Amino acid sequence: MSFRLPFTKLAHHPTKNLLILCFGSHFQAIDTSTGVLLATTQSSFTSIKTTTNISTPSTTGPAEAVNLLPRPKHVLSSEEAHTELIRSIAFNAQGTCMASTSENKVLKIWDLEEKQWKLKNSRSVVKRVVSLVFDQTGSKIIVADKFGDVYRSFPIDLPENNGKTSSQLLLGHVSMITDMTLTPLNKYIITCDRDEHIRVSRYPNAYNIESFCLGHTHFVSKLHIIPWAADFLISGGGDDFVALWDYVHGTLLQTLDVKQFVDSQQESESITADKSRSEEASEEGIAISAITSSAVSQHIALIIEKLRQRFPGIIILRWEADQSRVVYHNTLELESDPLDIAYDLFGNLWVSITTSEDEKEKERPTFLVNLFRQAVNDKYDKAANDDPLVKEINQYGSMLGNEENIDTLPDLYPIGQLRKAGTDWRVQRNQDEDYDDVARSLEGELASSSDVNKSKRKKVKTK
Amino acid sequence: MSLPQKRYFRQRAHANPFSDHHLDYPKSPAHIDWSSHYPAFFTSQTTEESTSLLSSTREDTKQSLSISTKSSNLLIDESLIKSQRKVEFADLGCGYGGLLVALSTLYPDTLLLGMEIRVKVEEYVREKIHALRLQHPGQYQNISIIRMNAMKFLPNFFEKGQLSKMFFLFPDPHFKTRKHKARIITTQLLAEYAYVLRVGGIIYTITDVKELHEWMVKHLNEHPLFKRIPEEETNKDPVVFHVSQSTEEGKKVERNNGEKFLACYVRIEDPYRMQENS
Repeated sequence: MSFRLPFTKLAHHPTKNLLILCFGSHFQAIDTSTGVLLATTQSSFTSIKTTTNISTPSTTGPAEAVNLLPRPKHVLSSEEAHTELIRSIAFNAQGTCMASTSENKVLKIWDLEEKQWKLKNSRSVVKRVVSLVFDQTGSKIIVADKFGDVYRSFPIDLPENNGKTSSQLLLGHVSMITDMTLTPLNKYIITCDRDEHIRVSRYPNAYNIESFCLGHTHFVSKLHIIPWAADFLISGGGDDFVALWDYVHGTLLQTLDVKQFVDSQQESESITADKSRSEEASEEGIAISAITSSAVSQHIALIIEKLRQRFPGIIILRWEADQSRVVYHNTLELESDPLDIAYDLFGNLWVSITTSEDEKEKERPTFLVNLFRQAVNDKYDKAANDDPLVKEINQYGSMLGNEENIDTLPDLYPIGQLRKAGTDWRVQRNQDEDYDDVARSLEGELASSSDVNKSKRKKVKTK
Repeated sequence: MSLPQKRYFRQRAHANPFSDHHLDYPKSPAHIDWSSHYPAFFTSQTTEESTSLLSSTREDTKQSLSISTKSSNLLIDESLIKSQRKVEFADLGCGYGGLLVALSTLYPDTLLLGMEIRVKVEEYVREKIHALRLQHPGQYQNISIIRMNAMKFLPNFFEKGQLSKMFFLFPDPHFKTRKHKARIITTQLLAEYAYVLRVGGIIYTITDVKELHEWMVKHLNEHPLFKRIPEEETNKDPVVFHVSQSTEEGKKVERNNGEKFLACYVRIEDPYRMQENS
């Protein structure tokens, strides 16, 4: 088997037309107004030729087939790149730097100043990071880890050589933290966990909890403050719904069933197909793996993971300002499963998609990035695959040195694994069990799961 | 009905607070029906009303309460007020429930809840309370027990500032350094205790393990929302005698002539907020 490594994580710059695309331990940056590749940590890219099979028919002349792709403006040394899968990425509010963390507990800060583009510094963190965010001054970075703790690390700039960072514990859950966000004015820090909780703590005095937003019945995986209505929080996870909260008071304002849109989409697709299969799929839970929004259209976009049958679409919700609630807008259909989404400054939606099929056996090449342009009447137009905005990044792909394809894909769907194993406690309540046997310590669980990931990752090496 | 015998309810002293036990916990404090725990306080006439109140959201509760007090026009509906009564004392890791039983008669109008993660121990206390209620009609109606993991799900049971006393009596010492996060008093968890405890509410800690005592004192001292109560004041507190003498563990330590270390802390206003305001 050979795959093109997909982009697992997207992040758009807060003020510039700049999109970061992470793949494995590397990232690339494109200009979202021109589609030009700006930067890469893959410094051995220069020998990469445009391959005939991903060129459009009009450009498959023999001369063009050996053309080298234009060299990005900023090539960062591969030695400075992460050595393991990048999981989280964040920009500071000023847009001058970016932080990234990888599975091996390394936090890197990158300087994004024009003409600079370099690694500022690299520091280690105690546990694997699930979410990171800069405070609004940009002088401190806050990291939430799998162990349930949130630390504040500073300073951002380290003096040469003997620079030391301070790390301060802000708060902790006795559970795995799954996401974290700071409110725009940094008055509150909001964290969510695998045990259905959303905690709103004051900031920086995070020892003082303002409220809990309680109402989820499965893990919470994503938090999203609505940028244009910053008193509202949207959350999603293993439940069939997304929830809208007045987070300061911990009041649940609305739940919107999104599973119905997933099911109806799949039913319409499989009318002629095996009926029992679609029924089976509809009984199965969903997991919301991404929530993002655009202030341009006041749309909120969701990615949904399903366990056995993936959902190749993006659910778009619309904000109704007069009633302060979200309503279903439409579903954007994709050829394969989305991995991450990001809106650019124009309200266009960038989508990274998975490469599930064997490249060699496929007649058509897989595109790694799709773009949905914001059109009139709040609609989206899918950009053609030879559209200049996506052409370059799709040609470039996620190249690992001279070898373009990989043997085994990394774990692309980590969110669904947060679901608690075994029977639902609501069904199997008050069971007299000997949980000394069942009990595994959190450390044990994490260690074993990281071992599994490690062995998976080891396979993700170039041939 | 005779009291249950402890020998039929033995279980290992340790339970892992991090694993996913089969626990039954409400979505939020608004989703608990306390009438099954304290039936005498939620009388039959108001059961329907109270459960409907409890199952509705907090906002609704406030609203319907204000409506009903308005409509009754100064004639205060006593049963409704009773049904609005909330748990005020929580014994986290209550074990065999000695403190609950002792405080039940000392504070007959206050609802006390014991929390215990071990199935069999919880069963024992439940049966004991049931037997006590039958043996002493009208008494022990204000105590109950729930099987839960207090380190994970405390905010599912109690609203902000609902509690006035929290007890941590002879908790699991978790001696190994790598197990310290499993201790019931940690910097992280104190934030949750401060959330459910009202300003002026008290945390009682006692242990026979000096090292654990020092750990608890250190973490409580360092937490900005708690202030230690001086010894001369704690000596006047009628609860302190029971904290030290009424639990099974306390009696055991006594028998073995062991030392007991007590530390009590009061929940104070956030000094950070006060700075901000001034």
